[in-house]
Amino acid sequence: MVFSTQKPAEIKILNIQDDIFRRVTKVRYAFRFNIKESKQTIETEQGTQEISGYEYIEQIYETEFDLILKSALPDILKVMYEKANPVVQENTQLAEVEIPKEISLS
Amino acid sequence: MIYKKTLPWKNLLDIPQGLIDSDKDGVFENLKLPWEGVQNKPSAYRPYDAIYIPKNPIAYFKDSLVDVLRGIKPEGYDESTKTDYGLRTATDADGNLLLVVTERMDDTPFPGVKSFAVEEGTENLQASEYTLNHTSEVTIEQIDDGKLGHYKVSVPAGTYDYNPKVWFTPNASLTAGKTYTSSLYVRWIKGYTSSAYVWLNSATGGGNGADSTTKKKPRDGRAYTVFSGLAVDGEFGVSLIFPKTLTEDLIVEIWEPQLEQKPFATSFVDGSRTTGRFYIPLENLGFDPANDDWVIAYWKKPTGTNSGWSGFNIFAIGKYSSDYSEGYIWVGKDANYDRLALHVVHDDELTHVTNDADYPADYLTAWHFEVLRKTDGVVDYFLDCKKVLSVAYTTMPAFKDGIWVGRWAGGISNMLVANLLMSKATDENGNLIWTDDYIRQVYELQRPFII
Repeated sequence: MVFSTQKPAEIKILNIQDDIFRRVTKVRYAFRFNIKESKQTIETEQGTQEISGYEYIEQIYETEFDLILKSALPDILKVMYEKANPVVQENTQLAEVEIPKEISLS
Repeated sequence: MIYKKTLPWKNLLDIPQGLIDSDKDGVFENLKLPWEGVQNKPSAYRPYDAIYIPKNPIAYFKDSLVDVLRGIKPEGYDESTKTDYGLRTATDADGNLLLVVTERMDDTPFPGVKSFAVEEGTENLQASEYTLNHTSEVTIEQIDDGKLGHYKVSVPAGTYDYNPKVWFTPNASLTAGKTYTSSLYVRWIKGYTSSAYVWLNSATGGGNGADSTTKKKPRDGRAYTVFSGLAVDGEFGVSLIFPKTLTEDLIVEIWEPQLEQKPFATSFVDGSRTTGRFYIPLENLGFDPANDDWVIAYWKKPTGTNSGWSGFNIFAIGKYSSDYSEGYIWVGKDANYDRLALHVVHDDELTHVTNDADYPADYLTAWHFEVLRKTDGVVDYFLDCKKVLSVAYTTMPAFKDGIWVGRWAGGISNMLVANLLMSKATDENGNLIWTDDYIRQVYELQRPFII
């Protein structure tokens, strides 16, 4: 779980490196899913404080794209995000299922 | 792979152990040994025991941590005796601190590496004043070798008693309800028996042991004991007792009695040190934490938190500011969520990430290799070579504070640390040395660093 004091963008490009000899661009980017408002307790030198912010799931990836696709990267990442989002949602729901600790056959 | 530049092997794991079988430089032609130009190389570090950090070949070892920190007192440093308890450091040519090692006898967490205790919040009660008491059947002989309270103790066969036979009494008054840690180094000269105890108890009467947990770790003929307990009102002592009849004469040497008010048993220093902390200022780091790519790597064994075992146990760089205007990163056990957490101030905001899984059950009781790595756009935290937490960022505010080893925003988190390395994560050409794979190799090799 990630908590940030500011509402994050769903997609954040962290770093781009162009390799003109290999004609590729290497992109490091983060997808943020399930963004919702939240509160967090933190410790400071003044004591415990509760601060407001946003809670979300973050996945960081690094992918190489052909250099000619560089200008289209925002759209490509957007499509990738939209494809990944329902899968993450589904997996999150599956993971949140609670099962009993003791299971009896009778 | 960066190692091709320095060593002929493709990666760290390919280096045959013991290939360089002596500390004579120049055994192999064309192999530039990493300590060429190094002054005062520590004898404990042999080539085949070390991981080379190739990007700083001109590093040299200072005499002590105190020299490097230019007047900042680290944990354990004693103003009066000018001792630093074996802490040694390596710096680059500009005097930036890169590595902290120690020369203790414990050889943990693996051979060739020796830990140092970070004991924030410790109040030492033993100081250099103590009284040594003994019963009539025991004879003592002081050994004047500079070690605090060094005595040879002889106990005749037939001795049996739960009451103390030899005990140090500190010149300090203790308070019921507070927690104290006491320890004593012991070397068994003759008649070693596992039924003889070094015990923290009331010095005036037996049977009042607050904690009889006793550990003996024979090594090279040596044994030492570390234990802790809750205090009772009145005198307190570090004692030798003999709950089983001694079948032969017993001779032991004892030294460095220690009594401290603190929550955890981490006494690995002698009794004369003052209250301390371990802070490494910004100007001693070889990197700009906000703008450079850097790595802080260390082996760590938590020995307690600010609140029993339920509080924080973290490693921090920078300091908290309510408007997020100062650089601040910490990593470790988060008390509020009982999880590992990575806490990063960046881009005028604060991001706090906690792990949902992979929290090792032995995190608080065993040695683990931790790496905090900042590269362009991401701060990563590795535990035992697995990347467990990451925080993405665009910009990071300037840091106004340096590294707090074993400390968080106002609290303490005691730990043992070994092989602490603080360095840029890239080589001189900007290529990343500390890749995920490199971190895995460093973890699997379990060797000390040498610069």
